[in-house]
Amino acid sequence: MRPLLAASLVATSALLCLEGTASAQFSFGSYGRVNAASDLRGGSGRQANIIAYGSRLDLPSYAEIQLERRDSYGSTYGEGIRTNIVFTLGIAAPLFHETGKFEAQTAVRNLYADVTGIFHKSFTAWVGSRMYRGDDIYLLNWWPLDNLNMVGGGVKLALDTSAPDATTVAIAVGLGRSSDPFSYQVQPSLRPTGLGTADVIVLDRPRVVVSERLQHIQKLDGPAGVKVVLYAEQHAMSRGVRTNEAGLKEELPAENGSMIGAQIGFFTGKRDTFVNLFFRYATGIAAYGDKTLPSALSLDKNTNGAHEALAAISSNVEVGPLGVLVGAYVRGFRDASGNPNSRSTFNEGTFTIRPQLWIGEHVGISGEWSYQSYSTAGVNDAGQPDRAKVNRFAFIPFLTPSGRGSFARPQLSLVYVYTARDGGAKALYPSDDRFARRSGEHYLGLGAEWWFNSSYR
Amino acid sequence: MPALLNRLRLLLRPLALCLAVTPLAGTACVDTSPAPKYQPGNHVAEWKDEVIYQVLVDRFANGDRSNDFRVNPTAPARYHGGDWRGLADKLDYIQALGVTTLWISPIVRNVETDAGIDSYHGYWTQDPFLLNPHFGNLEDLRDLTRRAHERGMKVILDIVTNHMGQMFFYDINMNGRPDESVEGGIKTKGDKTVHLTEYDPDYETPFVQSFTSLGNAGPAPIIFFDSPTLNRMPPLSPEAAFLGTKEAYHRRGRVVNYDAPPDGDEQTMFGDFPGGLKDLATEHPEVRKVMHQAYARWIALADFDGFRIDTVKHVEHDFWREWGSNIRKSAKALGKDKFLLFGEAFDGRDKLVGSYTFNDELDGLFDFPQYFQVFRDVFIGGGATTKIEARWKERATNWSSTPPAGGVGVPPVDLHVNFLDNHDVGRFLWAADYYGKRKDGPQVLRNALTFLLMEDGIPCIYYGTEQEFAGGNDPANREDMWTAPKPYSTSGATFQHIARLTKIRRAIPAIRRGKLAFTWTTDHVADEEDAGIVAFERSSTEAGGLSYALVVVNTNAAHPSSTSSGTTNMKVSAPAGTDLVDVLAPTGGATVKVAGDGTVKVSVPPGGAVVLAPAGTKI
Repeated sequence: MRPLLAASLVATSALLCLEGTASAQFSFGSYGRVNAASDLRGGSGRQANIIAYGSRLDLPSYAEIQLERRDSYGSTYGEGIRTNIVFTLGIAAPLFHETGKFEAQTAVRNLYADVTGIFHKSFTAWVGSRMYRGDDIYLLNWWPLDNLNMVGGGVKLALDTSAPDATTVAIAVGLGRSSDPFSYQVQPSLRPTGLGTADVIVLDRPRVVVSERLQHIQKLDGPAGVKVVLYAEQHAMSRGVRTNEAGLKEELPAENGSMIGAQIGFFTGKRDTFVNLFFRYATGIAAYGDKTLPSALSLDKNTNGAHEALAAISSNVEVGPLGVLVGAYVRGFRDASGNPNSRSTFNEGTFTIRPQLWIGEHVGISGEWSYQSYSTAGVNDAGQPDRAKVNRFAFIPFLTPSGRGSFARPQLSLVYVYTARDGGAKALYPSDDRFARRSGEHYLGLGAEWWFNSSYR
Repeated sequence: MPALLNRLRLLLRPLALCLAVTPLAGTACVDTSPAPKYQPGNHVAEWKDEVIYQVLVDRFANGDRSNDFRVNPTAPARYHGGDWRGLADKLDYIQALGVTTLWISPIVRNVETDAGIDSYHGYWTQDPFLLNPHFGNLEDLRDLTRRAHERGMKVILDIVTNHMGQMFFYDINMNGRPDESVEGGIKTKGDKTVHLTEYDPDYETPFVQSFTSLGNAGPAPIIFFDSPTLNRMPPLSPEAAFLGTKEAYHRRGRVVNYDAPPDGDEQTMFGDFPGGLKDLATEHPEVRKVMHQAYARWIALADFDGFRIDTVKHVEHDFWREWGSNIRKSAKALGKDKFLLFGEAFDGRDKLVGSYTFNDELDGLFDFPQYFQVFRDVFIGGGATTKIEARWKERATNWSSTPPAGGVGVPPVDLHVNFLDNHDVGRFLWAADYYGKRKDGPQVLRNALTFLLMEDGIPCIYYGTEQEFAGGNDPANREDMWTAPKPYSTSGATFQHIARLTKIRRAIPAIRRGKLAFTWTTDHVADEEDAGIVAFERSSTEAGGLSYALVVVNTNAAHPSSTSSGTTNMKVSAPAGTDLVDVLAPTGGATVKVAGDGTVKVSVPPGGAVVLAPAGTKI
């Protein structure tokens, strides 16, 4: 369930009347965060998580600009056939004011159109390139159940027409093709005529992903309700041939994978109070995520045998001037090597809690404790198990002009984080890395975060 | 109520463990629980019982693709992907051969590559406290030794203390960078021409000299490489930090003259090993300390049963005495009171090889003199078999007959490690063709194997011999096992022959532990009646009761020969009237009877052999 966010207000919109349409809206949205920090030792503040999805406090700066055009072909806006065209541009650090160079990284995060109401008033079809996500764990900046990045299309149907959001079924299919040599390779080849070479695509095997999502929201008394999601994915890649780093032709067998998952949540409908539980189990290529280059392949050079299991929780409770955010997960991943001692077979997890106290409507103080653990099936060269633990403690005074609320944005904050890492955590870093030598880490910084009309959350 | 609570607690425990990110159950979770506490101990009863199988890990079996870094199986001198897990997965195959001890190639972190050649062999140490990730991780290595021990097999680790990999260069022209050649690459020094490459310059005393256009400028500074991508840098482990200092090295350049006095031995001792492998100052207490700590640690961490020690003749005797003693003490502290130290002195001079068996230095050495004098000269070259008997007499003179203090309890003269070939010489079949121009290679090989496995000492079989690999010198002799015509097949003639021989060894204690006495050798190599015959008895009372075998080998490929010359027949120690049956033949072996005068005449087909044991001996 998406928390009800005050920040979902349309920031900029205009009602337009265009030829051939009954009415139209244009909206501008944005997500953004900017962090500037010191390690109090003369260096920059730097992310110190040891797991895949750790505390978001020290994430690098990032922003999205979302432009959206909404047209309605009925007599009244929102009735009849409706279309949305969405364009989201993501911009990642470095920032110009950090380096003085025009070198920000950009990516098109959304570029799609959808239409609702052609076959049925609750039937939506979309085509394009998009983030395809469910609910997140805000503290961990993570979408634990469904988080696809796909170029393709999909449909969604609300089964209960009297309550369009009560029960929905969604199916999507998309392609994704990384530019790594597991998926794609270009090589020079002799031209058919004359001299010289032309670049030839010798490996091109996009991953086809199909996802199915069934969601039901059962209203309880008042605004409260229960949300249940069943979710599945199927992944497939064709076989291919590539030239490996030794210059040898190498057969890559076809890849397959699947994932099943579920989510159950409860929400009060008041002040963004909710709890969500997530479960997910994935096999084969799906166990690596949709964009990760698979590693530790099997002796057959594929991902057969890899699997991942996870359970996660996300919640927010707000009562009076108090609020508590929680995010936690445990995740086990077994690589495809079949080696029970593999150091890329691991368990990881975290428990992160952020209590908050608002002093008045616009000022607050929060703290955060994050415990993180990472362990592999192997041992290091001294015979010690690969076991790493980190405790992170944060103190965060903040300003929220839009009022109280864990998700009230924009938010301006002062962030201090102390990270305590054990010997195992230090051993995760190369010996020349300062994190490999230091048990304690400071992070003192300023942060700003906002979102409105953005698909980011 | 407490019972109910307990039941509930048990039910919830797996979930609690999951939440604590400790072992997760079943397929949904991953078991990363701590490995059971490792308990090294002694696994050896008697080293004379063992048959060693030498494995170049990179070339044996690939059991885990996740460690296939920079693998190129088409280039003989690059990494090919073999690993400890692959080897462990093939123990059935190895055990079917009847061998009892694995000798695995070095395990430690190496300089990755140099001059287009990789460190797949493991002899280019960069950090002796870290593992070479190409072969797996420590738990993979432990799995290998654990699974071998569970089968009653032992594991010997190959180690190098003489030198390190190409970790630094001599900055001869002091320009701060490594130059392939300095001043054109050649310098005349007296009547010698010296090659000047800053990677691997020729030997100079007291140090490789730097020079400029104005002349010599003193010892050339050495500069350690700093190439993490090639692992070409000083050791990372704090315990090995001294190996990142100039004091740890002799800094005299490469050996160019191994044996010409007066300075030949000095070069062998103090010069870099060819290929830019930097010679350690093994006389330095800190170097000795590092080498003791590093390798004692691997015994404890991975439960090895012995060390095969590389380049022994390039290190001073005192090192072996002190280091050997310290290693034995460390092993004994782990309960390993039969920890084997045997070395490689690649030299045909028996006096030199045997010299490392005195003063409590090593338990045994490879019998390189035998390799040259017996297998090369007689079996391949068709020389007189009296050379074989001479070899035994020579060894008895030059090798110690006193067990080293704290050693494995066997006199080194009885602990010669015998081999037909290894990773440093062309394979036997190649040598048979190249040196002997033999057209009957596989038969000669099997005949030599009969001698190898029936003689005294510890036989050592190089991997792939059983598959009749025939590669020439390094790296052609380091074939991938998986490229054999029938990979890992146990049905080949040579495989079956070795399996039969090891079975005979197991069945007849005299062949493992008994004394060897020659009963017939000859100078005849042509048409004579006994041309090419070598015969010896193995007898022992060690295992309770007399154990006896008579081995007769015909090294002559041209005609059948017998243990007789005119009216003289071979005299044996078996009692008159004893029926001796050929147990080498799997079924229906020929029988001969010891005559009343204690003689026996045994005829052997060309290039064949018989192993005669008293009738009724069960194989």
